[in-house]
Amino acid sequence: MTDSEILGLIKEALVKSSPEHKDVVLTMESSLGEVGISSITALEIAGYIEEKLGIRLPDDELAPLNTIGGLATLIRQQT
Amino acid sequence: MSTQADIAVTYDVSNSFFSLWLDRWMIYSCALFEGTDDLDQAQVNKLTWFFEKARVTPEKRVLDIGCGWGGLMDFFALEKGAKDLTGITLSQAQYNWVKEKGTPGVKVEFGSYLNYQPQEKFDAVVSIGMFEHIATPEQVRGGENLRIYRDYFRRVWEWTTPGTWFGLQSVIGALLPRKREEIRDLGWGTSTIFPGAVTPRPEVILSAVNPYWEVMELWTRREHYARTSAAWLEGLRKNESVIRERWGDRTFEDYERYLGGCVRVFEKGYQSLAQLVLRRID
Repeated sequence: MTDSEILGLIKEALVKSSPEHKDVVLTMESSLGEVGISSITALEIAGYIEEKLGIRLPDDELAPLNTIGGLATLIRQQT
Repeated sequence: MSTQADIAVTYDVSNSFFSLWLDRWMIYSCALFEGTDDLDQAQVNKLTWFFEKARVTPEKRVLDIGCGWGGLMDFFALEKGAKDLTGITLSQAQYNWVKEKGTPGVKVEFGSYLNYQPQEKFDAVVSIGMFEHIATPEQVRGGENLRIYRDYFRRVWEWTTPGTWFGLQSVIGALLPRKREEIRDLGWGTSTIFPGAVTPRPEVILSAVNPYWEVMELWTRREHYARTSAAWLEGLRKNESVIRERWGDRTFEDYERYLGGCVRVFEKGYQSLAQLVLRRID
């Protein structure tokens, strides 16, 4: 998957979980906290992407994530 | 480390409140339902397991870190003949309860393990359900947990004699839920009933014991904690009217929600329970 495809997927998951984030611009450098993604929302995003791609992201690496780029790397490793 | 105020939220509701729905030894941790459906017997099974795994004998000096209401020490003293037991607790209510009971051979000290300085070294150690209070959620998020856990194991190593065995029990993080309601359910229990506490991931415990303790056995007892929580919930509901009358609707409803949530998180595998048998590296 390309960076823009992964960013698009994360944005899709974010809006599904928190529609109020529909205008947020995500970049690989965005920190989860800065764009208002709580730890609960991050897990929901993970669950949406897992279901969509048929993958399972490892919990021990998911918990300490703090950037969009980190999440993208994790997704790439599992696809 | 959880603060004294955090600990008070968790353990100082009222000793008589907990006595209504815990077993007769007042053990507030996972029981061992092997060959029994009875909570009292299952807790005795667990206490016996720790007595054996920590290689306790009557003449050994035994330390119980996070001793609760002293049930384990009472059992070791009264049922197994142990003569020299010391418990430490950061709960004022639990400390007072153990002191007032005055079980022969049992001593209790109030305070955090971080300030503990024993007069003499111990030959056996048990710690059940205290490890969850060692690192705070903020410390875990800051990546400090491994260092803090290792420091805890170093301290226990320094308090003990060569050849010591250490029985450790902790709730551990297992799967992370992905559904909002389940994530919130899990978070609510921690923040409302167990503020300042964290369930460690098992791989972090296994890293942190090094270089002080050798892991001799590791058991997971997730189903046993689901059953323990269900037994507590049943006991709580049996005493609903007295609890509502003496401690208020909010206390009953919070604990009903919390214990119901515990049954679900252990059944679904979002949390598990680890029992470790550790041997001091001499």
